[in-house]
Amino acid sequence: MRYSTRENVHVDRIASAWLIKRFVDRDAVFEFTSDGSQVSGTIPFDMPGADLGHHGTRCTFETIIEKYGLREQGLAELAAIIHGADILPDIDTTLESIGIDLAFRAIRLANASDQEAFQFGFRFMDGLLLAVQARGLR
Amino acid sequence: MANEWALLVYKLPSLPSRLRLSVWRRLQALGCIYLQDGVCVLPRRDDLFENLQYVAVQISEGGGVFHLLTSKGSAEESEKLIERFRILADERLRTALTRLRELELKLSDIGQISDFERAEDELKKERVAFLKARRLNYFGSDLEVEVEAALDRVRSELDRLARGAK
Repeated sequence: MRYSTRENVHVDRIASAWLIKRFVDRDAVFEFTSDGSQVSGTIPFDMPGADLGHHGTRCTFETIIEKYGLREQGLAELAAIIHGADILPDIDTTLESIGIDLAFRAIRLANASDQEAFQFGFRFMDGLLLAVQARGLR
Repeated sequence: MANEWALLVYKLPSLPSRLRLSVWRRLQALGCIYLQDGVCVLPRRDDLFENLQYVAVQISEGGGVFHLLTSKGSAEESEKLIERFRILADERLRTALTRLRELELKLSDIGQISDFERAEDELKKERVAFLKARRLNYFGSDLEVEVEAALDRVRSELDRLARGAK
């Protein structure tokens, strides 16, 4: 399937796209929209009004986990970290969120396009999940 | 950015009160200033605007209505708002400074390991409180430097006490 989101990506869009690609739809292809409008034939995510978006106090990453019933070890902890990094009032809910917010800003700035930021961010998220899982095994 | 503002105008159903409280808390945590009931303002910054959109979703899903607007204020109006944000930032940082000075005074009474551990915990809490206050210091407050210096002093003193205890 094709998925679309707002351009100039940050933590929740990168992490959510990674979640879709790794756990929901291996063939997912991502497109970006500059004005937040719907791209026909795509599933929008992290956009105003999108089913896969913010709902209540949940960020998009948490919505996707909930909607698809994802139970992979470490995802719940990752969700708390991403939530804090995305939602400013909750940034101190985990020790990691402040650093993760900065790390994703760095990913965006270090990459020339949103597509490249996604590729870089996906590898980072792979590592982050492994790190969280390894911590749980200690 | 200094003359541009994000305005959230909203109305919530009177019940449930937990929704009103949750929205109010989130807006407070973003450092919003209420211009009147249901009308709050923040500097127009992309990350802050995005977070106001998140709160707007919560308002809408809770049965409320909202308008999220960007407004360009005159220099005079903007200066009034900036001053209000500065006063609030100063208050937060002054409170942190007061607590740190109290902690500094307590350090001279440390005798037991448990006192030392308590002081370490308090310092950690103060550092987190400072990070929060600094995040909301949108227009710069000189007190930030003073709080950082006080944090460093307490850290140094605790390190000195720890070395002496060995």
